[in-house]
Amino acid sequence: MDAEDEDVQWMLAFRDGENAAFDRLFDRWAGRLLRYLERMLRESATAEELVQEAFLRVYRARDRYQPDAKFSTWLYRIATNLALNELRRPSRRDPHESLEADTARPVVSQATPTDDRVHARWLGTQVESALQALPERQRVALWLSAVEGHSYADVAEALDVTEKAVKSLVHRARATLTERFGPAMEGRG
Amino acid sequence: MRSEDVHCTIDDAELSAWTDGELSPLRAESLREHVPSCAHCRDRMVAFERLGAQLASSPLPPVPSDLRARLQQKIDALPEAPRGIPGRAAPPVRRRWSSLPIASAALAAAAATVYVLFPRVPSPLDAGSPAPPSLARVEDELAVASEEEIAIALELDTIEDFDVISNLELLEALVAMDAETG
Repeated sequence: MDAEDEDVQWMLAFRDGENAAFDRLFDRWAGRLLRYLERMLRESATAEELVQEAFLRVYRARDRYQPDAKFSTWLYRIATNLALNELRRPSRRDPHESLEADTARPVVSQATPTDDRVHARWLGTQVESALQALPERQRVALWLSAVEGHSYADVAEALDVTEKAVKSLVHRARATLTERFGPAMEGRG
Repeated sequence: MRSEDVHCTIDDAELSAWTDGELSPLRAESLREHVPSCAHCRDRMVAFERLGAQLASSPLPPVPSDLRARLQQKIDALPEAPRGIPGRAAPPVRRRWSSLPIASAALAAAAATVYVLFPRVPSPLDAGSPAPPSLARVEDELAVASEEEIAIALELDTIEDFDVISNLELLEALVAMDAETG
C-alpha cells in the first residue's frame, strides 16, 4: 500500500473511531506541514500554532471525511487557508506592501563562497531568503507544486484561483529564483 | 547560438509546467522531442530542476516535543458535540453556496435564534407577550451579535460557515438580478 492510500486508510479508521490513526497522521505530516508554514509565514511560533489548528480542523471534520482527494491535498488546503488568513491580518501586514507586489527584495550576497560545503549552506540560506521575499501567492504555488508535488488543480483550489493562474504563479516564482541563483547552482553536484 | 535556438518558440512557462508534469500528453511529447536539441531549453530545464532540488533539500524542522500535547489540549477543550451522520461528505467550499432554499431556511433560523441569544427580545410564544419585534429589530440584533455567538446559535461547525450565512443577502440579490434580466 503506498503512502497516499495509507493516509486515506488511517483517516477512515480515525473517522470510524480509531484515535491512534490520528496520531499516525500527525506523526507523518506535522514536520512537513511545519516546514511549509514556516516558509509561508517566515516565523516558527505562528507556524506551530497553525499546524495545531490544521490538525484540529481535521479532527473536527472526521465524521464527514470522504476520500474524494488525497489526504495531503485536503490537509494542505486547510493549512494554506490558515496561512493566507494569517498573512492578511492587518496587524501583520506592512502597510506599504501589496499582497501581489512583485518586488522581491534582493538578498543575494555578492561574495560567493568557494568551499563546496560552505557554498551549499550559503546557497540554501540565500534561496530560502529569496523564496520568502516572493509575493505570497507565488511562494505558496511554487512550494506546493515543486516541493510538495501537488497538482496545479489542487493548488488552484487551495488558492481559489484558476489552474492557468497557478501555472503563471509557479512560472514567475521559478523564473525569479533561477535568474537570481541559476549561475550559483550550476556545476555543483 | 546554434541555429536551432534561433527558431525556438517554446514558451518558458511551458517548460515550467512540463517540469511539474502539467502539460497535456501531446504537448509533453513535443517538448520531449524538442528539448534535447535546443540548448536554451535544455539550460532552462536544468535550472528549474536544480531549483526544485535545492528547495526540496531544505531540512524538515524538528517538531517540538510538546506540539502533539498542545494539540491534545485544544481537542480536549472542544465542546462535546454529537458525532455527525456517518458517511456525510465534507462539503467543498463552493458547494456551500449552492442551495438558495437552504440559505433562506438558514436566514429564518438565524432570525429565530435571536430569541435565544437576546432574552430582552420577548419570544412570541410567551403568553401575553407583546407583539414580536419587527424584522428590522431582529436584523439590528443580529448585526451586533458576534460571529461566534451566531455560529454557536446556528450550530455551525466553523466560523467560516458563518461567512456563507452572512453573504446570503448578496446571493439573493444576485439571483433576483438574474431573474430580472431573464
